[in-house]
Amino acid sequence: MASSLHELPPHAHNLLRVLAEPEAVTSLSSPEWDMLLRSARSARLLGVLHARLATKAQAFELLPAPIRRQLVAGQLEARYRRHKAVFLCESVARVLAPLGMPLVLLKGASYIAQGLSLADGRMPADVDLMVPRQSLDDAERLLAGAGWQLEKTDPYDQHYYRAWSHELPPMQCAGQALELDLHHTILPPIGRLKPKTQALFDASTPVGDGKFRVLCPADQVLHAAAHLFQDSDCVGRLRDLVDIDGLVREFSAKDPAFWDSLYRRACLHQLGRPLWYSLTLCCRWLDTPVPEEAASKIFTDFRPPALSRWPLLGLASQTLPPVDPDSEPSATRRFFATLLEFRALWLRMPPWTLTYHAFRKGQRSLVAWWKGTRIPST
Amino acid sequence: MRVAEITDAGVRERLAAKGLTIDCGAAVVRIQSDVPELAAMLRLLYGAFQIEPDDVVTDASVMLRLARGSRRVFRPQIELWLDGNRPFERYPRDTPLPLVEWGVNFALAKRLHCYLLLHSGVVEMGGRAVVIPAMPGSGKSTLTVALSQRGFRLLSDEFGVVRLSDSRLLPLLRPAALKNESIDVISRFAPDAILGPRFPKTRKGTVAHLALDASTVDERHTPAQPAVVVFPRYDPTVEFELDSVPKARAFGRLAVNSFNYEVLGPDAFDALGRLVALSDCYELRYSDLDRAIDAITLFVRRADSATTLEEPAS
Amino acid sequence: MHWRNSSAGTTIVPVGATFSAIPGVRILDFDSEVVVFNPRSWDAHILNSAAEMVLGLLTHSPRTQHDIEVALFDALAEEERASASAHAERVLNDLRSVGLIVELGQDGLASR
Repeated sequence: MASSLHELPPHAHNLLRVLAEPEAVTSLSSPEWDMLLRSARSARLLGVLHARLATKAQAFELLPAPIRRQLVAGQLEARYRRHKAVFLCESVARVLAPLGMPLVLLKGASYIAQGLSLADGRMPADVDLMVPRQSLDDAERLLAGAGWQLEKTDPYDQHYYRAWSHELPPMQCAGQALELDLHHTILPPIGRLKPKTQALFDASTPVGDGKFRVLCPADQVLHAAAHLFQDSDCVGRLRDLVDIDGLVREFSAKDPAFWDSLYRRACLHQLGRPLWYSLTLCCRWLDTPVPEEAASKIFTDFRPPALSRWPLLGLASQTLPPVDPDSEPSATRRFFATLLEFRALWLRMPPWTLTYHAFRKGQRSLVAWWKGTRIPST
Repeated sequence: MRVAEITDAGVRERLAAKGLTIDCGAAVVRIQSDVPELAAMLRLLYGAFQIEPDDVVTDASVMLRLARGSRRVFRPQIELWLDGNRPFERYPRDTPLPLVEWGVNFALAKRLHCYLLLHSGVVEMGGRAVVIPAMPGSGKSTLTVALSQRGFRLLSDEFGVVRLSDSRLLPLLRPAALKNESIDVISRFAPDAILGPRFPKTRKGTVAHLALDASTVDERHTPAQPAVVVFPRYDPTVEFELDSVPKARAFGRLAVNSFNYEVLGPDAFDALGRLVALSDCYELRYSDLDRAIDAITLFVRRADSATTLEEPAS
Repeated sequence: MHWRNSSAGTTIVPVGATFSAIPGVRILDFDSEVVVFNPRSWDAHILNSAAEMVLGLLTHSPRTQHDIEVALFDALAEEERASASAHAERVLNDLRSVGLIVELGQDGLASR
């Protein structure tokens, strides 16, 4: 058991160490390998683990068959999801072409479209696409005409998404294995942080054959950071941190001006705080290289007050890594996860909206309990 | 050392500590549990399996736990944990073995993408595999188990494990699950077969399991060449009807009845294509088990053992 | 039974409704029927002999609709030849709807 909040349990520690330094696998015992594979799978990082180890081709072939076959299974699942993401994008590009508006890919689909190496082994569950808010209705109409259907139909959920959220409910289509999340900005518009949506579009660039655009590199990092520390409860989301580490490494290697751009855009979008949390944990856990000059500005200027940062770092440390494969989640972890869930809701909505939302959710839970049915959560 | 060579108490101790690790052939499975009555059941049904060392890498590690709190006393329940997650709802305490088996099957079906996993029974004779796809009402399990009691070696009653490189079928040995009438049919058909306890009122009806014998277990790493695919339909109104199934149709039916065909894409297409190319495919409607077995025995003997595949034109 | 892989068509073709198979199509020949792998969708399709013949032609090189009609005409029985044109259109539409073939634009590139 961790003796302090910031220490990681062995299974998480080994996973992070191997992700940062794949050569470290040569020193692992069989039980450590077993834990590593189970933790990686639980964290949806098995494909990424394969990708990192496979680049050391010689060492990979020497691994025992029971280890190799699990890594290969991760690789094949990642290949499937990547293929389905590309297929979805091609289909959606055709459907939305008549609108003539920018289609900005976000997160996993954008990493694939840019051919980033961090996309290797990732397992996207959906495709995130951002369009201008004024085009959202038309986009939805065209997609519906092509067979895309919104997932949640409860009137309250519809209202929640359309009035308060930065995205529509997830959309599904027959023949498509992944869901489509249609965004009009990157964080809830009624939330506490308000990134400059127009600036996101203005700085976006075309990718591939030009049917899609992607955010500028700095905005991609900021979006990943905001998504993790503003819009989620962090539970089991270590892979998001791995993404941020990957983005930072690739973009800084390609462009010496990247760090400066990251700082300026963080100021512009007021996303310095999530950036601080993300980079702090990336440096601590994944050895993300941050140049001294950039580090001194980012870690000083964006540092949250001690009263926020110690608790959040502690909570995130306990909830981001996957659970210990040999135990059920501890009461502590469940409690921390609940705290972070409240925090995410708090950041997502102003107090009166939060109260109403909590009331409606509570009401719905009560009704469902009474009827003995289970309901999905919003 | 085989599981049957240690006592129930010995199994119980292992389950409560590092677990019972079993090599099923295509996958290695570990079971841990604090439910004492599970030990005797596992010892009976996994008796012929070797106990693997604690420190091997596993494909699936499951933990069966008594539910906490009031659920220990009033209507006690058990829960299945898989790598820190609980994929199923809680079950009554009186169904420990089915829950463990479903949990392991669930994990394997989702993870073993290194192979193409068909939803089928597989037996073999003389190195030639018979793939028996599972359709509802097909009686797949009854037929598969019955074949295994009449000279065929069982590779699996649930997963047709197809190796991607050469389409050979690999054993994935687990206690064979029988449901409802099937249990009585097999009891009569093979009175010497070792059947585990019956679990009535599960979600699938009454369930019981068949233990595998030592000779089957010892061949857990011996693959079989594809040779025959039989789509069975148990029909009490039909004595015996046999049709040849066109290979393209057999391909389609096997693909839709697979756990992970969709995930593997081009590799699944190639592996399944090769398997179908090498196999004679039949549809069999029957009510008499013996007659069905005789027919399948004939198919296997007739299967062209010299079938080879032309290399792809580049 | 034998395997065939398609090659990517790269020749520029003359004007007209011209079609080509997408690259990477895999064809499993099982005597009376073929099973085809669609590399774009990862779907598998069972084709009848007419569709098999048309797809086979289009994997070798782009062809116009007229070429397809002529080929089908030769393959059809006498009493069916009158409807070769309709047949060709149907087969081409079916193959295009599942994404196995594309129509090429005037620049020789897929217009869809």
